[in-house]
Amino acid sequence: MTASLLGTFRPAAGQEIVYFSPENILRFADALFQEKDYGRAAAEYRRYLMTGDMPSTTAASIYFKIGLCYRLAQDYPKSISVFQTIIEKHSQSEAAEDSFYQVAYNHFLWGRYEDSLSLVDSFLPRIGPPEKKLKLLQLKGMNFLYQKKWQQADAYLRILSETAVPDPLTATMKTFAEQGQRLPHKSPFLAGVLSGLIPGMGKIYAGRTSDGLFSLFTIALTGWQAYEGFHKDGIRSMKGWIYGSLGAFFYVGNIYGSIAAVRIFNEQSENQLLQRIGMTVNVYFQ
Amino acid sequence: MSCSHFGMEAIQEYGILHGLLMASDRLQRCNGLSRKFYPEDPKTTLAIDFPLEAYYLGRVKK
Repeated sequence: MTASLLGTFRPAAGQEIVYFSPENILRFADALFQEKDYGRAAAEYRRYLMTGDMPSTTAASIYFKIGLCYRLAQDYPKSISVFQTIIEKHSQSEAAEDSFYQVAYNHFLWGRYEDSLSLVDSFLPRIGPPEKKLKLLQLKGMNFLYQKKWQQADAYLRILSETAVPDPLTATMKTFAEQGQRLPHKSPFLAGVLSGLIPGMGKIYAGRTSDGLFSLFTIALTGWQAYEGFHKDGIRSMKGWIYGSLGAFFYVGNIYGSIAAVRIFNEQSENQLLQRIGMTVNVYFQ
Repeated sequence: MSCSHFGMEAIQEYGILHGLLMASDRLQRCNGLSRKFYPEDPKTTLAIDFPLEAYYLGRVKK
């Protein structure tokens, strides 16, 4: 890394290196960015901004790089504030148009999907080029997908693929929305009812057969012991009360666990799909 | 996380009612039959269970 950073400053023969000249600061910042040292790159870009007056477009492009540094370092609040500065102070620059997308994208990465959606809607009328508009519209689709609103995502992406320029990314996202709707969904209510009727059945329904059978065995055993105790010594049977309480403890816990298991099953299948979406689609969003 | 740790943390985190229900369920999952569902901690050889939070039914579904 050091060698590549030192390689940034290559003076002509006989010339002295001026490390803190604006050009070299910028080169150094770019090198740090390339090395993915985003925190220090942002600091160097800021230092470059302080080296003197520069045209608004140049300043905006440097601010844009600073915003990217913060975004890539996952410091989303700082990144959003930088991109908003570009929108407010350098509204005529090309960077401003890209900053709209970056603000919405930062909110998406931050997990603030609702905010990202409303920002996309408010920014859209201010975007000119169709390809930039499409990028924002696709980001809206991603927000629906990540909110697990499969049906809404599917309907939206269908309209998008029919009205906007045909794009393979839109088609891929739509496929994922369709897959999301077809995900196996199990009912937590049914799991609870099943476990209430036959202990362990809810777990079997959730796909955890061994856990279900173990619960059935445990509850049956404690129930049997309780029955035996009460049958032999009547209501005052110590054995009956101990095993009865234990059986009830396991019985109620099994109902609770069955509902939780089904919920976990549903979430896992959704999260697996989201992981696949992330791996396939996220590379297109930068 | 062992069954007892799970139970203790569940009661501390979510109160006596939810905690006991979660502990009861965890005890029933504490068997050798369902190891395939959980990765094993190489240090303790205990099953690495899902986070405690995943089993709490009082949480709002995201």
